[in-house]
Amino acid sequence: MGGPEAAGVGLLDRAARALAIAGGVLLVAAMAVTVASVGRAAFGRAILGDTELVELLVGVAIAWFMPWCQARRAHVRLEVFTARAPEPVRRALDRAAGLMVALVVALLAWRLIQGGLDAHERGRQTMFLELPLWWGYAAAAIGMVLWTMIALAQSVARLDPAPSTPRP
Amino acid sequence: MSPLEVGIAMFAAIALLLLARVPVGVAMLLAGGAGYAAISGLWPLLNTLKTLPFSRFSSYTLSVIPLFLLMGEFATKGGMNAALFRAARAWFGHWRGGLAVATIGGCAAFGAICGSSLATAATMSQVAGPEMRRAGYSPALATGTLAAGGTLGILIPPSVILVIYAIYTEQSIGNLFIAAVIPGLLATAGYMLVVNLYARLAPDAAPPSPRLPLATRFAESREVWPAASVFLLVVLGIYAGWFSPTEGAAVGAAAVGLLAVLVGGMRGRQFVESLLATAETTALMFLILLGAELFSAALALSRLPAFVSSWVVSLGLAPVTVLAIMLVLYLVLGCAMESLAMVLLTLPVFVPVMLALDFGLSHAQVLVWFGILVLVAVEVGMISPPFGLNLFVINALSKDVPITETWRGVLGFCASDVVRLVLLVAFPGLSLWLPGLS
Repeated sequence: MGGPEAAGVGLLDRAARALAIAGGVLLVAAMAVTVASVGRAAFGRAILGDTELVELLVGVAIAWFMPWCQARRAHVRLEVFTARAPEPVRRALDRAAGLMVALVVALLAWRLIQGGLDAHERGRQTMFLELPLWWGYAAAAIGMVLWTMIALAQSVARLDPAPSTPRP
Repeated sequence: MSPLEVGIAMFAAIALLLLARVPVGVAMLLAGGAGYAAISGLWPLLNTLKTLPFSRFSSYTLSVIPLFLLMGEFATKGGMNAALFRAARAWFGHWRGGLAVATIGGCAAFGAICGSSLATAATMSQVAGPEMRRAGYSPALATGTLAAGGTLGILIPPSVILVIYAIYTEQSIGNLFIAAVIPGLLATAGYMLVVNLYARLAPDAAPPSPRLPLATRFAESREVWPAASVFLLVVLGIYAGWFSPTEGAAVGAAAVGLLAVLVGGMRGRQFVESLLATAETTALMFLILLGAELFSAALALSRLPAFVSSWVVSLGLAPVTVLAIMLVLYLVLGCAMESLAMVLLTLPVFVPVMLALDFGLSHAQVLVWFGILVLVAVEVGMISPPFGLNLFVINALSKDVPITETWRGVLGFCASDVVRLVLLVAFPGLSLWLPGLS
């Protein structure tokens, strides 16, 4: 993280961190909605549509988590077989892998935006609350675009020699 | 290429991409996407991708995962690891190898509010690691115990891997949680036995601690009750159907968060840290889930799973032999691969095989039993030398210990894991009796 990389990458990382925290707040909101609906159900006054709200909140939250995970280079990779490979080989592989990640993420972002436009055009709504589905897509698109930008920046940036630590 | 050949090529492509250091989730998306396009065409693939990511992210059933992860992070940042270790130390400290036994006990208790293996290992090593080193425990025993203890995080419910297995095989999450209780307790007892034997064989490695009076023990355990009540409420509540798994996880996360603020002194900074940690782990899991979704969809189109299961049945091997081969494959793969990805890559083929074989059990019984076996096999992979992930995490946290010491210290625990796996295969009742399926 940080280090001698271009200032632009640092800015993207900060944006990713902010978006991840915002996503975390959405997750906590989804938690609160769920707890409230359990509480109400216990008194026999279940509210319809709480699951729809949770789905939208969590869906956007997860899309907002993605850039942060990418910025931290935390996505799980298999490193044991190439850990002893010569440095130039590893660098070349990482460069190629970085480009593949950027392409796949860009494809996902493009299709998600297209999916959102479709949902808007057809006026797709959730069943009970009649929330327009494109809201969720539009919010999620912010995460997907930032994710793409970070993946692209990483694939062209000077490679960080420090190996990333594995996570669950 | 015939669809069947596409299916085989997809597995070959995954292997190559993984070797080329492509992240697991992206490798699955690439291989799965290519397979999908090869069988159904490019436009159907592009159409699927319009809705697939957001519908995966915004699934009520899958929301249980980030909520359980949030609960585990609140428990960590709220200092519950320290409270649970102190209580376990008060009760087990004077036993042979007492602090290591207490570490296992603390890990088991922490595993009851946290569903991830690495998080449990890392969290407990912060409190138990320095304590064991101060008391003069050998680095091999100390780090081996922590690495093994961490696996109790996924064995003892709630367990993220088990949740995903349940959703994938359309089994009740509550049933699988309850089914994992006896195997989880067996694991805890087995690990404690290993510590005891270790301390008998090498008394210098584990100097004894003083025995505490009963009153002190109860006083030290005071902070355990809230955590224990949350565990019971969540796991029993989900099993008994008081609430859905997602509701249970939300209630658990809220309760643990409240405890962390009131008892553990969690404030703004720790709260933001727990959000960021949840974000990172959630994102890496959902990228893998997304990849697995596309991969298994393409695999189903290729009809490779159906072909493999009818081929296996036609071999006429004893069902237990086939099961043993699959479990050994998990043990071998688990030495090198991330557990969630390994499970999701293999289930599309293994589950039809399991259902096609005749174990004299119903489908529901086979699926719950197999889920527990997979969970245990995966967890062995996390601590088997040389590549087990837990070993590296614990080793990285204990700076001056060479990895070879950790390998040496964990061998006994691996042996107890294998014995337990054999027991669970031989006696399906150990997994099926408690949820009332036997």
